Amino acid sequence: MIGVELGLMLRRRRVWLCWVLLCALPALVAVLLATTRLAPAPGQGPAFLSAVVSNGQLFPAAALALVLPVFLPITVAVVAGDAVAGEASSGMLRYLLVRPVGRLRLLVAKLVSTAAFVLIAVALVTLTSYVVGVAAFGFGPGASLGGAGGITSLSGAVITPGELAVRTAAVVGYLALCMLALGAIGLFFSTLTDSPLAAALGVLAVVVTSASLLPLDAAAALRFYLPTTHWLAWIDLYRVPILWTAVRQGAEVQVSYVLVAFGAAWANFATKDVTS
Amino acid sequence: MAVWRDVAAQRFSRRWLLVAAGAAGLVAAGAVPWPAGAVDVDATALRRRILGSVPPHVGYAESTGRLGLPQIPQLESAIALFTSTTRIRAFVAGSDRWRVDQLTPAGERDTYRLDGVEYVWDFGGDQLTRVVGEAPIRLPRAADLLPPELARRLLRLAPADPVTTLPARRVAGRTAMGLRLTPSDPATTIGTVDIWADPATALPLRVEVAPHTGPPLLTSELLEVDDRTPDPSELTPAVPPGAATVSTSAADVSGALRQLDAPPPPAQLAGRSRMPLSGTPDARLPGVGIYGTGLAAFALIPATADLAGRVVDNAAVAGGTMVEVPSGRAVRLATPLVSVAARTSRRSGVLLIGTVVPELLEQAVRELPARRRRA
Amino acid sequence: MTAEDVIRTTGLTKRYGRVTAVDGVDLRVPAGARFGLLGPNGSGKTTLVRMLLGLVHPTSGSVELLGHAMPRHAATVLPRVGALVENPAAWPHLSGRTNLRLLDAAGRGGRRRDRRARVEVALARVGLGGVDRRPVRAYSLGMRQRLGIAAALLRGPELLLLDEPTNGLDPRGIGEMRDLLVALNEGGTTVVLSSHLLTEVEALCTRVGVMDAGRLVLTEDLDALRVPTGRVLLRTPDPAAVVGLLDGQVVERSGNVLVVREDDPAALNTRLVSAGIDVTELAPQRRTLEQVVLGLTGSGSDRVDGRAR
Repeated sequence: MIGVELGLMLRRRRVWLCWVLLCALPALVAVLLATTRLAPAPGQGPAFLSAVVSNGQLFPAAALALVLPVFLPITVAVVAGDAVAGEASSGMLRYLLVRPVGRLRLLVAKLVSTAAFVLIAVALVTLTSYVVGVAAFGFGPGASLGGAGGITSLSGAVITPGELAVRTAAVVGYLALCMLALGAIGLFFSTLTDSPLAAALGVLAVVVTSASLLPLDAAAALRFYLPTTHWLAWIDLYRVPILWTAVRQGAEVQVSYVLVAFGAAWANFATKDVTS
Repeated sequence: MAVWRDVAAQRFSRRWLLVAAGAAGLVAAGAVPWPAGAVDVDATALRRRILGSVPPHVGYAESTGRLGLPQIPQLESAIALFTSTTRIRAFVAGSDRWRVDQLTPAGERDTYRLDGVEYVWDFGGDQLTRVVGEAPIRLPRAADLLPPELARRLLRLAPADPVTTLPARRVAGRTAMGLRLTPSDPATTIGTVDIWADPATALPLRVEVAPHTGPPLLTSELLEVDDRTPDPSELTPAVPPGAATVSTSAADVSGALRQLDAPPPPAQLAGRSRMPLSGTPDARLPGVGIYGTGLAAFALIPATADLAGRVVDNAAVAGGTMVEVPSGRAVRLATPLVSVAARTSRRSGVLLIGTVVPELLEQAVRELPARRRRA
Repeated sequence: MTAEDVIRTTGLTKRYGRVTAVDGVDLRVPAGARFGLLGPNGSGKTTLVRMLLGLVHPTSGSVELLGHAMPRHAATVLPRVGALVENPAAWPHLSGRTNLRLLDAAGRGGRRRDRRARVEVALARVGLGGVDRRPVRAYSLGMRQRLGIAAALLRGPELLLLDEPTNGLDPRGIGEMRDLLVALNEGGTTVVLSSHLLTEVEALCTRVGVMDAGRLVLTEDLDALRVPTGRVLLRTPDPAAVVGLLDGQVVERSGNVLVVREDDPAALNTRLVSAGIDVTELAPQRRTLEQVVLGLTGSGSDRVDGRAR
């Protein structure tokens, strides 16, 4: 069933469209920056964007910071919201269940395909933005002729290209985990309704609620548990030495979200009447 | 028939119960504190130990201030330290060899101290600044909020005030022993200073500063700490390729003040004496005065008429009280921990800020002679 | 035909809030039968089928499919069952062949080669053997129906549960489908189809169940339902003579056609012939299934009549 599910995902035009759009936004920003050279002032605008102009190798980090707050969650909401509700609305859910595909197995397959989607999405954004960034802004002042130099970490020390690759891989993994937590919430919502749109909007409602509670002092007690709180922790991976505290806490919270949301999806779906 | 229904209902609720229990367990794992062990503490001895040493450590701290200060132009970053959460990373080898990073969402501002010289790395500006000399007073910075630094500073300010023992508390995965400093000066806004420190090294791990009534408004805690001496590579500022390196003197700030050509501060204000200021000879701060001792102190800072005027306007909007003065306008603003007063006239202005009751600042504003540019 | 029941429900009930969709249904379908489930729209046929397949959980009562309790043993029972529930469904952006391959791969069992062959056999059986790579989105209603039946046939099921299997098919397609189902049934597959097309069921089934308002109001062999009514239809060029001869037995007269009350058509024929009356046509009258069903059921749920006060 997992193989079937991955095959289905890769055959969906919507999924490819999401990936293309996710990669297109940073590329557009890169083109605009490269032609105008009007980078935001340091400390303003999205993370890393002001430093990108001097070193294109930083662009993957800037690209991730660009798509993270809105674009990426929207695509995850659309894909995860579609997981069960989409099959229900097309009528395939009943045919899959009488094949028979166990209900738990169906949920696991859906979660795995959501995980694959977010991982591919984040990895694609990183790879394309590296290429676009280097093409638009070069390898930076430290580069030896024709080769890739290091990048300046937030702490000032230089990160070598090899180390940069390792750290960026960790960032990709972390962000994919954050998005998977959102995907698991989407999967749960998707078992509550037969409308993929309603499930996707539910996920976005969670994101917006969490993001609007974040700056409120009155919600300080909740802050640690909000899903979006830890989304920016990956920036700590670009410090020297790496600060793991926030990343570790974030990973713990996100894994908890995956477990609880998936458990809720299972609890709801296992005995649900399929009337679609 | 009934059996079937019951079975279905049971299975339904059992699954949800399992999920709810799991969720509650996960939340509890994050929220319920580990019980702290019992530690025998003599508060006075602990104070002495805290003040006596700077144990090496590497750690991560978060400081949260809720002081409700008004915006003061050109002091935004200093005020942000007391009105928001600051993430701090510390690498401390000793009192003269350390590095403290202020971690911002999209960058970092690192202060290094190495053999009497300070370096400041600013990622946003892509620049390393070497600061020579030492000013007698300076703006607060993130390093001042690091629990060990904050604890020592507060304890040093009030060496004679009484301390009592607090129950132990779990901080940074350790059982920390606590002490409470209660300032005796009635003029201070600070009600209590609570400090928890590592029993073995006396390293302060958590500091809470509270007004006379209400919850703590400034809390700083080391969330993670390692008792190791930081590696020299962690303490050496790096200049990445492409970044600028500049050198500045601590006296540059006093140069800006000198431009104001402010009169020397009076020897007494509101019944408090002016304290002598230390600092390198070239870094005198004309017109600046610190009045009062211990935790009931305030600073007198000259400013341009324009800046002081904006502070008066902002404070008035933020709920400040206008103060009648012979010439110009003046305002005082009380927040639970810090009071601010400002006075502006046609050609000059002045700011007063301190951990004292606002009445004291109001009195000081009235006492200030009407300022005139000296010929 | 064995005496074993492939479907056995006991007191099967499903309530949605205050609405009772299926009410205490005790259904038995013997192995090898061609069983027709009849009833107006909203009579509970679909909910019943969904409960048989474990899609809907009964409020009370039990289901046994192929001798195993459902939905507990769904994993062992359902691979032996093929089903078409309400209407066929497919992933619209994929071709029919890809749809079947993915659907087949979603279930357990089989090597890759067997799976491919299985899909081709099922497509050929429903007359879609030469289907191209067009996505299902572009299929006609009839093609989708055939694809849905192919999906039900994939695993060579022992039991076929088909909801409205001829929906969307043209008359020729209906004929083909009927032949296919009969052939499958003769190969040992039990066929259960639910329909509101009475003629369809009449032409195909050996046994029928009639549902009305959630209840199973009748289960009977089709032959038993269609016993002669004790009336004979008579066509003659001389109706007046017949009336004269059989006065009292004639129930209806309309032109040259008469309806006569008579249990033994052969005796009636002899009597008329011996009286010298020409008989053009003489046939014992049987009830149609339609009459049976309409007599048993109320109006469907899609009709809302005002209630007299």
